[in-house]
Amino acid sequence: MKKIWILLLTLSVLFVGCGDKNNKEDKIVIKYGLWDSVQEPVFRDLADQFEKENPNIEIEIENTPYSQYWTKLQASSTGGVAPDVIWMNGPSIMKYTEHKMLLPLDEMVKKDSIDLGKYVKGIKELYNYKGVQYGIPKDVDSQALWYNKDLFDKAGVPYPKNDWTWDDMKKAAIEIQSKLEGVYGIAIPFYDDQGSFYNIIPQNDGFIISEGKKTSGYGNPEAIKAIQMMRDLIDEKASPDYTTILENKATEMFQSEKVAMTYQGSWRASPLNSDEKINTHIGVVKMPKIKKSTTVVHGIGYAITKGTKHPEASWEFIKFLASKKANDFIAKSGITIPAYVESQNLWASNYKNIDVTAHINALKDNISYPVSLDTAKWSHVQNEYLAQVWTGTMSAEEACKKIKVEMDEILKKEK
Amino acid sequence: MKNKKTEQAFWGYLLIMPVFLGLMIFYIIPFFQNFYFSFTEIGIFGGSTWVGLDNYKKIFVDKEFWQSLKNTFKYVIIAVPLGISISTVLAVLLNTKIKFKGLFRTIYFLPVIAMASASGAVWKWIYNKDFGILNFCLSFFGFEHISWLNNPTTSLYAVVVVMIWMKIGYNMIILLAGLQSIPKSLYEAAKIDGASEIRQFFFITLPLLTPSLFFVGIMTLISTFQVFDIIYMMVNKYSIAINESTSVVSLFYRYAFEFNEKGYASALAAILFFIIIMITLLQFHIKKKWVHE
Amino acid sequence: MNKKIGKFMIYFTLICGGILSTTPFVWMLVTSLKTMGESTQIPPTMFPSKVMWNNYVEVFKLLPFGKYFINTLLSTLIMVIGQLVFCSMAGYAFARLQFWGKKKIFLVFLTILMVPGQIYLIPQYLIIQKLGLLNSLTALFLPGLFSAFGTFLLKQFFETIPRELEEAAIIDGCNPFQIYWRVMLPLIKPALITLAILTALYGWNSLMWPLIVNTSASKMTLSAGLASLAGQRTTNIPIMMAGSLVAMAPMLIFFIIFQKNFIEGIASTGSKG
Repeated sequence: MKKIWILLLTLSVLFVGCGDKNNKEDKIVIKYGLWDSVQEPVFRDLADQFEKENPNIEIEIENTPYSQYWTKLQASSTGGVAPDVIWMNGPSIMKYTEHKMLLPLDEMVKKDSIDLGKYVKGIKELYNYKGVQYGIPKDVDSQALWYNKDLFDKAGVPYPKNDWTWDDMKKAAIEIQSKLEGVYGIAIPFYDDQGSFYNIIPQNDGFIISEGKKTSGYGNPEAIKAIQMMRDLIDEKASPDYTTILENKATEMFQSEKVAMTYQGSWRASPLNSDEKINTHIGVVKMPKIKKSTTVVHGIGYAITKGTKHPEASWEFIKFLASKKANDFIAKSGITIPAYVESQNLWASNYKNIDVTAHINALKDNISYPVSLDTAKWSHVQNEYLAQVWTGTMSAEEACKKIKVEMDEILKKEK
Repeated sequence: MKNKKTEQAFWGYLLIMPVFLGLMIFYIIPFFQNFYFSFTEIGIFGGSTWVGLDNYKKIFVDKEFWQSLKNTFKYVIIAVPLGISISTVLAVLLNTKIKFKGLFRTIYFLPVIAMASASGAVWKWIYNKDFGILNFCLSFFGFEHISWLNNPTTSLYAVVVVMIWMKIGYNMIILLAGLQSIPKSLYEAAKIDGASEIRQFFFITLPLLTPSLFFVGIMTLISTFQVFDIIYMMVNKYSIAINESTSVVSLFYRYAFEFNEKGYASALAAILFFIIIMITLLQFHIKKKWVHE
Repeated sequence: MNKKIGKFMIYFTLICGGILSTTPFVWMLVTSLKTMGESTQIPPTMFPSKVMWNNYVEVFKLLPFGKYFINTLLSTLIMVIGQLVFCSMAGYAFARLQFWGKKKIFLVFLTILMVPGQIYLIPQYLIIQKLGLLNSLTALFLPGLFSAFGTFLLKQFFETIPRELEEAAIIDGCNPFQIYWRVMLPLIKPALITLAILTALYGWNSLMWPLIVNTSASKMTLSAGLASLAGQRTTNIPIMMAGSLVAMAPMLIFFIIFQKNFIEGIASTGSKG
C-alpha cells in the first residue's frame, strides 16, 4: 500500500507546471509584453515604481525574443492569454487594428487630458488608424553614420562630417579599404530595411510605398538608382560583399573593428557604448546626403489588447509609462530615444564617451516607416529580390521592377 | 474463475488507462485532426473555414514546395547511404582486436549527445566565409573563400556533412551490436576453408548484418526525411541559399508558425506522411529480397 | 607483416575519424574563451591569447540561461518519470493481462510509430493553446508523457520474463498490480534505464516543440533559447559558443557517467527492432 502512495506522489509531480497560474488575492495582475532584453531591466524598474504608487496592481513582464514575438502574440490572442499591455510596431499595427484586436484609446486620452502633441508626430500618426488612436508613442529610432576614429587615423583619412555627401563617404571607404589590410570601408546592413534602403531610397528622393498605400515606389528611377548605388559600394570595393556582412552582421563587424563605418540605429548605441574596447574612439555623424538628407523613423507604441480583463489598470500603467517622469528615466538610461520630445536630450547626455547628438538631429528631417495592412507579405518579396541584387545575381533594375509588380498586386488585394 | 477474468480485465484497463488517454488525446485524435485541418484555412486570430482541396491545389503549383521536396530527396539519397556506409566501416573496424574500444565508441557517440542548436552554432561558425576555420585550412591548398552555407550550390552539401556527422555514432553502435551477434564459429570455419578476410566480409559479415542494416536504414531514412533542426540553425532566413536547402519540414514550420497559415501547413504534413508511408512500405516489401532472415 | 600494417591502418582510420568527430567540440571550447576580436582574426589562433572566462558569465547575463536550464531539467525529468510509470504499467498489461480488445488497441498504438511527428504538431499546439497552457512548463512535457514507443519497448521486455516468477506471486494471492509493482518492474531494470536514457536525450535536445510552445524568454528551454540567440540581429560568436557548451554540458556529463548504459541501451533497440 505504501508503494501506491509513492506512485501517487510521482503522479502529482505532473501538476507542478499547473501551479503556474497566479492565485494572488485582491491584486490585479497586468501582463506587459515586450521583446528587448536590453530594455527589460529598465522597465522592471519602472514597473516597480508604478507598483509602489499603485499597491493594488502588480506588473508581470513577459519578454519574448523578437523573432517569436508576433507569432506568440497571435497565438496568445487566440488563446485568450495575451498580455494586457503590449509593444506594438509599424509593420503590425494595421493588421491588429483591422482585426479589432486593440482597444481604442481616444476616450481615455481625452478623460485624462493627455497632450499627444508632446510626442513625435510621425510616431503618433503611425498608431492612429482611421482617425482612432490605438497606441501611445513610446520611442523613436533614428539612423546615423558611426565611424571608428582609430581606423580613420591609421589610414590617414579625415573624419566624416555632418554635411558629407554619399560620394564623400564612398571615397573615404574605398581609400580605407585599400590602405588597411583586413579592414573594410563601410558595412551597411543590407538585410535590415530600417537600417539601410528605407533611408537611402528616400535620400535619393524616391519612396517605398505611396501615400495612399496603393502603389509601390520601386518602379521609379530614383529607387532603382538608390539600390544600384548600394550595390556599387560592393563592386567598387568600399564595402565587404553581402555574404560577409550577412554571416557576421554589420554591427558585429564594426564592434570587432573589421570595418571603419556603418549605418546604425539609435537602439544599438547602448551596447556599443558599454564596450570598453571601442567606446573610446567612436564618432557619430548624420547619414551622408544624396539628394536629400532624410532618415526613416520608427517607434514602438504602447497598446492595450482587446481581451484584457483590466482595461482601467492597463491604461493607468500606460499613462505612467508615457509620462514625462518615466520618459526622463528611460532617456537617462540610454536604452532608447523617447518619443516624448522634451525628454529626448537626456538620452544623448547619457552617452559620456560617444557624441550621439547626430541621432537627435536626424529626427528633424524624417519620414515614417513604410507600412500597410499586410506589410509582412510585400516586405518579404522585397527582401528576397533585393538579396539577389546584393549577391550580384540580379541587376538592380530587374529586381526593382519585379518588386513593383508583385508589391502592387499585394497592395491591390489589401483593399 | 470468473472472478479471475474480471480481475484481469479490471487491472488491464486500469493500467493502460493513462497511456490510452494520453495517446488518444495527443496522438490518435490529432492524427485525424491534421487531415481535417488540411481541408480548411485557419484564420490569423482563430476560426476555420472549409476550403476543400484548395490547400493541396496550392501546394501542387507551388515552386517552393517542389524545390523543398527535391532538396529533401537529395538529403536522403546522399546522407543515408553515405552515413550508413561510414558507420558500417567504423563498426567493422571497432569489432577487431584493438585496444581503446570504449574510448573510440565514446568519441564517435559525442555528436549524438549534442543538441542541434549547439552543433548548428559551431558548424555555422566553422563554415563562416571569412573567419571560419574550414576556409582557412582550405586556403593552404589554394582554395578561395567559399560561403558554404549561403552559396546556393554548396549549401545543401554543407548541411549533409553535418547531418552525417551527427548520426554516425548512433548507427555505429547499433551495427556494432549486430556484428557482435554473428557467431564466431562461422568465421573460424571460413578460415579453415581458406577464405580471405575480404571474402569473409562479403559472404559472412555483410549478409548476417542485413537485419541491423535494415533497421538502421529505415530509422535513418525516416529521420532524414524530417530534417529541420540543423537547417533552421545554420541557414540564414535572408540567404539566397534558402531555396536550395529548405526541406519539406522547414517549409512546414515556416507556414505553420511564421506565416501562420496552419491549414496549408497541415496539408504539407499530410503529404509528407504519405511519402514516408509509401517509402517505408516499399522498404518492407523489398526486405525479403536482401535481408537475411 | 601484413597483419601489422593492417592493424596500423585500422588505428589510423579510427583515430582520423575520431579527430573529425571531436574537432567541432574542441573548436567550440577554444572559441568560447576568446574575445570577439580575436575570434575573427586571420589566421585563427589555436589558443586564446587572453582567456575570457568572463564569456561564461556574460552568457548568463545576456540570456536567462539559469531559467532555460531549470525549464529543460524539470520538463525532461517529469517526462522521464511519466514515461517510466505510464509505459511500464501499460507494457505489463499488454504483455501479461487478458482483456477484450487488447490486440486491437495495441495495434492502434503501433501505427502511431509509423507516422512522422509533424502530423501531430499543429493539433497538439492547438490543444495546448485551448487549455491556456501556451508558454508554461506543462506545455513542454505534456504530450511527451505518453509514448507508444516506450510502451512497445517495455512490453517486449516484459514478455521475456519467465512466467514461473509470476506464478509464485499469484499463488501468494497478489493482484495484477502488486505483481507488476513488486515482481515484474524490478526485473526489467535494464529496459527502464534504456527508456529513461532515450527519453532524457530526446527531451533535452528537442527543438521544434519547445520552440513553438514556449516563446517567453523565461519559459524557454536550452535548445530553443540557444536557437533564438542565434537568430538575433547581432551575434557575438564567443558568447554563442559558451552558451552552446553550457547547454550541452549537463547531458554530456550524464552521458560520461552512464556511458555503458547509453551504449548498451541504444544497441539493444536495434536487436529488438
